[in-house]
Amino acid sequence: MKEKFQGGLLGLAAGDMFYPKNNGKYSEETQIALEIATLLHQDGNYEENLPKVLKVWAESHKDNKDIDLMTFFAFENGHPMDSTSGSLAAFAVPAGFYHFRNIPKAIDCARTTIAQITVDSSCQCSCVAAALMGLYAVMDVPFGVWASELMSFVRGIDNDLVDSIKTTMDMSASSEDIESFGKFSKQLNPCESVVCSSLFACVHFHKNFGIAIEVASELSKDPDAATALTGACLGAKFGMKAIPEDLIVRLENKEDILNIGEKLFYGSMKANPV
Amino acid sequence: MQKYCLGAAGLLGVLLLTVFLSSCDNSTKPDPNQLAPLIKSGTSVAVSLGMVAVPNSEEALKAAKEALSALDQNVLPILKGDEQGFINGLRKILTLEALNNPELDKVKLVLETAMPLLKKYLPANLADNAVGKIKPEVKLYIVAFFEGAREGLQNYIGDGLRGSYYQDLRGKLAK
Repeated sequence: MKEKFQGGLLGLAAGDMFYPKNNGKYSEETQIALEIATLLHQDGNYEENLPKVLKVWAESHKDNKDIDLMTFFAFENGHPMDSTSGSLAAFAVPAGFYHFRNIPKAIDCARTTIAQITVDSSCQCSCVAAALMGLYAVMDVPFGVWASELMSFVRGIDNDLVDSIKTTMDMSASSEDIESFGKFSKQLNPCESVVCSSLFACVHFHKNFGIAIEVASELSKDPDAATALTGACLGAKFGMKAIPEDLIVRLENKEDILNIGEKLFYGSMKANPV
Repeated sequence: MQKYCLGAAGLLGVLLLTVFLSSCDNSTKPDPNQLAPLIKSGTSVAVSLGMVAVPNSEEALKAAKEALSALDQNVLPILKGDEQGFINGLRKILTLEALNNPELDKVKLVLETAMPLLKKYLPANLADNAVGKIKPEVKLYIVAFFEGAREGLQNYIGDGLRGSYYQDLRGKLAK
C-alpha cells in the first residue's frame, strides 16, 4: 500500500515532466501537490496552514508565467478567486490518497482545499472527482466504476453531453472515439477538461503509461495538468512499476518525493484507522 | 485643484480596493445548485463503496435491500411531502431512525460515516430546533443526501445505473 502512495506521487511528477513544454522538469502541478501532501501528513491545522504555505510558494515563484493568474492571486492574497485552472485538479489528488479509507473525508478535504483557491463551484466539484480518482486508484476500484461514477461530478456540461461522454467511456476507444471525446473535452472549462481527459485516458489506456499520458495531453485544455493527474492515478493504481524507467531516472528530487509518499501513507493510517 | 483631483482619485482607488477585497472574503459560500449534486454524487459513491467494504457480502446485500425499502417507505416520502411533515419528521430522518434494526446496523454505520458530507452544510442543531420554515437550500441538501444514499444502495445491489459494475466487484471480492 505504501508503494501505491509513492507510485502516485512519482507518477504525478513523471506525468507532469512528460509534457514537452515543461522541458524535462515537473511544474507547479507537482510542486503544489507535494506541498499539500506534506501539509496533510504533518500535525497541525491543515485548513489554517494551507493558505500560508501557498503564499510562501507564490512569493518564491513570482516570475512563474505558466500558472493561471487567478490561482496565483489566490495564493498571494489568501483569498479564493474565480479560477477554473486545470492545475487545481492535480492539487486535489493528495486528499484522495490521504483519506482513501474514508470517502466522505476525502470529498470534504478535496472541496475545502480547492475552495481556498477558487470560488468556482463547478471547478470544486471536478476537483472532488480528481481526488476520488486518486482514492479509487489506491483502493483498486475497477475502471468501469471510475468512468461511470466520476463523470457525475462534472457539472459544466449539459446532461445530454454527460450521457454522450459516459457512452463514449463505456466503449473501447477507437481513434474516432478519441476525436469525438476531444471535441467534448474542449467545450468544458480547463479544470473539467483535465478531469474528463484523464478519466478517459486512464480507463482506456491504463496498460501503457506513456500512451495514456499522451492521450490525456491531446484531449485536455490544460495538457500538463492532465498528464500529471493521469500519471498520479496510474502510479497509484499499479505502483512504481507502471512508470517507465527512463522517466523515473530523469525525475528531480526523486528521493524527496518517495519520502513524502511514505509519510503521507503513514499519516493516512494514523488519521483514518480501520 | 489638481491636488483635490488626485486626492479624490486616491480615495476612489481605496474604495474600489475595499469593495474588491470584501468581495473575495475567505468564507466561500457554496452555490446550492452545485453543492446539492456534489452531496448526492458523493453520498452515492460513499454508500456503494462503503457497502462493498462490509465483510459478509451476502448479509450486506440482504441488509442493503431492506434499507433501500426502509428509505423508500419511511424517509423519501416525508422529504418530498409537505413542509410541516418535513419539519416534523426531520429529527427522525437525520438520526436514521428508519434503520433502527439490528439487521441494518452495517448499513446504518455506512450512512453515518457519509453523514458529515451533509451535516457540514446544515445549521447547528437543525433537527432539534426546526419549528418554522426551513431554508430551501437546506432542504435541497437533505434530499440530495438521501437520494444519493438510495442511488448508492441501488448500485451496490446491482439495480442502479452502475449496478453491473458493482455486481462484478462483489463477485470478484467474494472469490
